[in-house]
Amino acid sequence: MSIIEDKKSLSNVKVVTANEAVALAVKCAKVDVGGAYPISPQTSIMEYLTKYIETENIPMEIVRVESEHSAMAVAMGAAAVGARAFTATASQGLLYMAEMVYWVGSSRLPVVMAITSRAMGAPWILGNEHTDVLLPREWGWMVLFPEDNQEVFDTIIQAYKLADTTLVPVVVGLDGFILSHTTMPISIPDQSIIDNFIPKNTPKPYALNTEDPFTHGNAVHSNLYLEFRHNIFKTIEDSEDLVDEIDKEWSKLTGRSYGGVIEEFLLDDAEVAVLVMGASSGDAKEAAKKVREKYGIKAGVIRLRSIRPFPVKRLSKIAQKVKAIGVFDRNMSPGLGGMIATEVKFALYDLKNRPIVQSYIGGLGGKDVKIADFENILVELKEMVDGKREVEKVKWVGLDLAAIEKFLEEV
Amino acid sequence: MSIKGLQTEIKPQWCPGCTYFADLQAIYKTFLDLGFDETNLVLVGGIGCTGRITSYVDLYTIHTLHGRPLPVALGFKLANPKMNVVVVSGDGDLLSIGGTNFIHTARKNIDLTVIMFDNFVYGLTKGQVSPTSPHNLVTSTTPYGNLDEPVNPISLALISGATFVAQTFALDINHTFQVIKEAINHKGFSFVNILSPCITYYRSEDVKTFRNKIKQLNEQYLTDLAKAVYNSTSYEYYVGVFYKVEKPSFESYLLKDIVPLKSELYQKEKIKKLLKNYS
Repeated sequence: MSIIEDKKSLSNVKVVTANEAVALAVKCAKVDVGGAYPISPQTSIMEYLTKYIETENIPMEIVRVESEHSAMAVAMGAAAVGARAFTATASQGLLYMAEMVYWVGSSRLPVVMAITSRAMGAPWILGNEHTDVLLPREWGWMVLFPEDNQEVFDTIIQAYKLADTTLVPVVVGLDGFILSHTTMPISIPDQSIIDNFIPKNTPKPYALNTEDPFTHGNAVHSNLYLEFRHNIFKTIEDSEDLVDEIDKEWSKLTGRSYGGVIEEFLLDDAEVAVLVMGASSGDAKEAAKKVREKYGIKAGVIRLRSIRPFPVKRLSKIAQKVKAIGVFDRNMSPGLGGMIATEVKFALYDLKNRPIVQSYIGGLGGKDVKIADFENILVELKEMVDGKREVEKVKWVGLDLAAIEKFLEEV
Repeated sequence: MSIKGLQTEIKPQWCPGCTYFADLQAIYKTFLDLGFDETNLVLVGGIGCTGRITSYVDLYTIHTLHGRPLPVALGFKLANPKMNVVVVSGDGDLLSIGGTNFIHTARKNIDLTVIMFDNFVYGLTKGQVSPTSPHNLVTSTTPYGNLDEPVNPISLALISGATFVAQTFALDINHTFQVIKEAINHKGFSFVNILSPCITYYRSEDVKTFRNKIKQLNEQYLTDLAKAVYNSTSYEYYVGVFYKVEKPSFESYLLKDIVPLKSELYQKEKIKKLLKNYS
């Protein structure tokens, strides 16, 4: 349902950047405590929140800390006593924060963090890529990746539901600059809907309590550590259905559904599909429509919304239908392939009739990826299905090695 | 050589009227006066508006990351103690995310010069509260005023063990030049704080009003730490040398018999070849 059709909530339509959408969602989620440290392109999230606190008197406290490491530490302390906690970062900020991010994941504290994706140095770079958002998938966090500003708002709310239910913290990734600094209309549900969806008064047996003192994080021996890790593994593995259910429940309340772990676009009869995350999905969908019109190729898009839990079940079902999947990674695992492509291959290897999986890497450091690039990918996949083109370990999109030669000549 | 010889082809990009242009002039002037070139100086920068400086000085420079210029500079100095190593960074980088590095590098009294452009806000990320933002300052993360008390950079440097501690005002380029020169000539950890209010985001007063608060320190070159600390806490906007003592520097304990790495002249072609091999 588009926002304009949704007359009931038209009064609650705001035209905002994705960063403001995050801040609005945090406000609506009635978050108690946040830690703020600026880094582009995340900074305005915390600026909006401080504005709401000081001009609208929302009952949230933000600590202006001296580094990202402390921003997550503040969120950890707040979550440990049962408060609802939030922070946001990007790129180098996440890397500096990493020690605390891992600790919060292993502590099973239901913190939610927004990461506005940005490439990492050296050299210094501001452009968008997804490597930073994907790192916490190995650190005991769930990782969700919405496509547009409305979905960013909705996913932050859904993330609290997921975190509170599983006691696993959740990262919500959003494309730096492409979404974080781009304005779109979003519809904000009635506060009562959100209050009922993510109630704050649920029992929190893990919360530190002076009346019944216990401790978090003490040393254990190897007789327990493997078991703790196993339980984190299982909880995340078993959450695939939960992400779907949360999406369905949200859809009943707001009329907006995103397909749960995966949004399936034109996949019913698709022979080839491109798998993609985030804002580029819109371009991929256009490309699928175009190659259907131009060449009659039955093309579709697998939009990965949930990276942890990794949707092995749903992806396996899709893989029974399509003959080739091109995984477009705006990230890389050096020397191997795209990070998501390697996971897709792991997930599908045991299938009897598995499709071709081709890894594509592109868009690193903010390099533009166009609709035409996705058209090319879909056409190439069709050629692979027809045996006219070899599958390669990795294919690079938009790579121009001559640019280095040119740069060296100019220096 | 003239100042032009120290400038790169990149035009400095800060806001029009930024006090950092003056700070940069003072640095050019000092480097020229001391005869610095590729053979005897490494310039280390951090993150933020000040971090841009490594692109504007045509010598060996390295643009490090958030808060980390000091340990990187320490590595340089130990690898080749004959080089002069100068760190230029801002209040956000040195006192916030790099706060612990500041304390622990200062107390080593290693022979580095640290020049801090103190603009009282995080400028590059567009004006959030920084560790030197005055109490009540309105910034984008403190719309109703800063709740915290600022870090006093001079006091912090003094009690952390710096052996040369001074403060200057950006618009007095000549004084800044004299003080930086002394700081570099001082053997040990020297710290110069250049009061450089941000023209765009330091909203409580303009540079002219700020200038009226600047006063010359009466007692200069104190060797009495307690007195220097007292001065630093009493007179926030006093300029001059607060403290100067002679003590053995860190590397002098370690490197008496160690031969420094061979220093080679900057060779463009050699670097190009290197880039080609590894790119």
